[in-house]
Amino acid sequence: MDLKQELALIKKAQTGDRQALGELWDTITPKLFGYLINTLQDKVLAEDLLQTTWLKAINALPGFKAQGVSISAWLFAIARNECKQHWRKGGHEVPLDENLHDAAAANANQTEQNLLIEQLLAQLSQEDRELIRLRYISGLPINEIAKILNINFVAARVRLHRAIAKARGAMNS
Amino acid sequence: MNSHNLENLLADWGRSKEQLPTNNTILKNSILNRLPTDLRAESRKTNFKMPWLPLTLGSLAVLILVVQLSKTNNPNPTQVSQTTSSFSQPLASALQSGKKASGLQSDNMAKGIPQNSAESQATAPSMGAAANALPSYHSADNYVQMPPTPQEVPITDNRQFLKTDYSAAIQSHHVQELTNRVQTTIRGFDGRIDANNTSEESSYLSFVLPADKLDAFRQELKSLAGGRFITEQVQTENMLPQKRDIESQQQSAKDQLAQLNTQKTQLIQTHTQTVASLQSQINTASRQLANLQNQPDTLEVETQKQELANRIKTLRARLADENANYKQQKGFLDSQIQGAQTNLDNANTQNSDLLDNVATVRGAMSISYVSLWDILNLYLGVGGWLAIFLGLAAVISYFATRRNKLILP
Repeated sequence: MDLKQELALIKKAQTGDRQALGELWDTITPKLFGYLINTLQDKVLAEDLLQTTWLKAINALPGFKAQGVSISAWLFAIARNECKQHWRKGGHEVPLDENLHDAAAANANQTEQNLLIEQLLAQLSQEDRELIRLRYISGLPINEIAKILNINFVAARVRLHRAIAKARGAMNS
Repeated sequence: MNSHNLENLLADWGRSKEQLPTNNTILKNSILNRLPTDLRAESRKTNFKMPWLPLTLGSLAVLILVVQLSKTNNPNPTQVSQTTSSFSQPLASALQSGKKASGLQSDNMAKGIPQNSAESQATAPSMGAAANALPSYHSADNYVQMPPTPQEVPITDNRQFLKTDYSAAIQSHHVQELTNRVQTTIRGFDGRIDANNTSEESSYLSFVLPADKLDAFRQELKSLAGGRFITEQVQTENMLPQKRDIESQQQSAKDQLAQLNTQKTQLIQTHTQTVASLQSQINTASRQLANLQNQPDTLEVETQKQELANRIKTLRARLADENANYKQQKGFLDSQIQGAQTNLDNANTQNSDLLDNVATVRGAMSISYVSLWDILNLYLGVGGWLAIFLGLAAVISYFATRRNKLILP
């Protein structure tokens, strides 16, 4: 879905069009849910936060202005914020276990390559993993990642580049 | 494995992570059911956020700009002072030395009317010495110190013999061109240029103008140089003390002349009478002596003849003395009369010079170079720059608040 289509759907959703909102759900939720599971390593919690994220988004939908930012980025930012709040309340990010990573993934048809990636990511810092999640699970462009992380574009690009370089280094070693 | 392959692997990995929750339909429906139908009304309520910082900064900028504009409505202060001549000093000579003071105080020129002559010096340094030459009671906007009353001029004498001195300090980006145009203007107003000293960065003009053309000349000058770039000083000086002094000299000379003429007349009269008397006595004695010459010579006759001869001799000696005295006194009086006449002529000349002087304006003008940056400063001043700075800050803060920042619920 390109930005124009997304904007059109947002406008419709802002008028109370549930079908438009449903289309946005269908487009964004797979990535958003995947991001949450990968972040939280807890499918139930991920579903809770997915619901919370969408509810907050709907409540704030009247005030949402695209201004060059997709609603996906906005939703991912909300989701990331919800994760932070969850960890602040007492939860904590579960470190990736090289062998026992998320339950959802374990049930999926995991390929060998994916396992390799998971092992590589486990060796990266939380910030680097977050960058890679946002880039490759969420599929967001770097400028939107920069806005979600509240850093400038260049910093986001450099950090992502370094994270990939670290992953490559880990792979080679 | 190269970077491209790793990125492909990551992309594949990311895609593989996409999944829907197991109870997707239920979750989706619950979310869709929570979607209100009147979101537009809520949007109107919640969307608008007043950008207070840009508004505050912008308001401050406008306020300062308005204050600045009101302050610079009369950016070229014209000092007008009136003194009596006993307190004045020659302005032209003061300006001559003042023109040596170089430099630019353009900020001050735009600040408004200076409070006194000391401030005037700070305002236009090229006129510094001129300002120093002026008494401290020169006019100002609010502060007016009463000038001291000249002691030798009685209050009943309300005549005015106003001598005007005009000086101007001009700042220009084209000094030589402006100097030429000012010279042409002075000549066009039937004026005369007495001194001209021009260099690339400054020039000085000393000139004389008919008094009745000063106002028109000033207007022309403002149109030439721009009112903002001129600092003028007009000093009018009542020459009454000089006038009274000259009149006193004239009267004194006239009185002395009249007195000397009277003395001379009296001297002539006295001398004439004395000479006539002596001559009459000499004639009488001569006639008596002639009568005795016809009589026979006796001892008595001889004695009378001898007495008459002695008398005639004495009278002639007295006549000679009288003539000598008369000549000496007349010469002395003539000399005094000549001196008094000279004094009177001098006083008349001074009177004529004073009247001519009153009918003209002595002018002095310094033109100094001003850079474009200084011209900008002249227009803006500190307040202008502050307003620009605040305006920019308002714009930047506005765009900063409007930038694509994710506002999370």
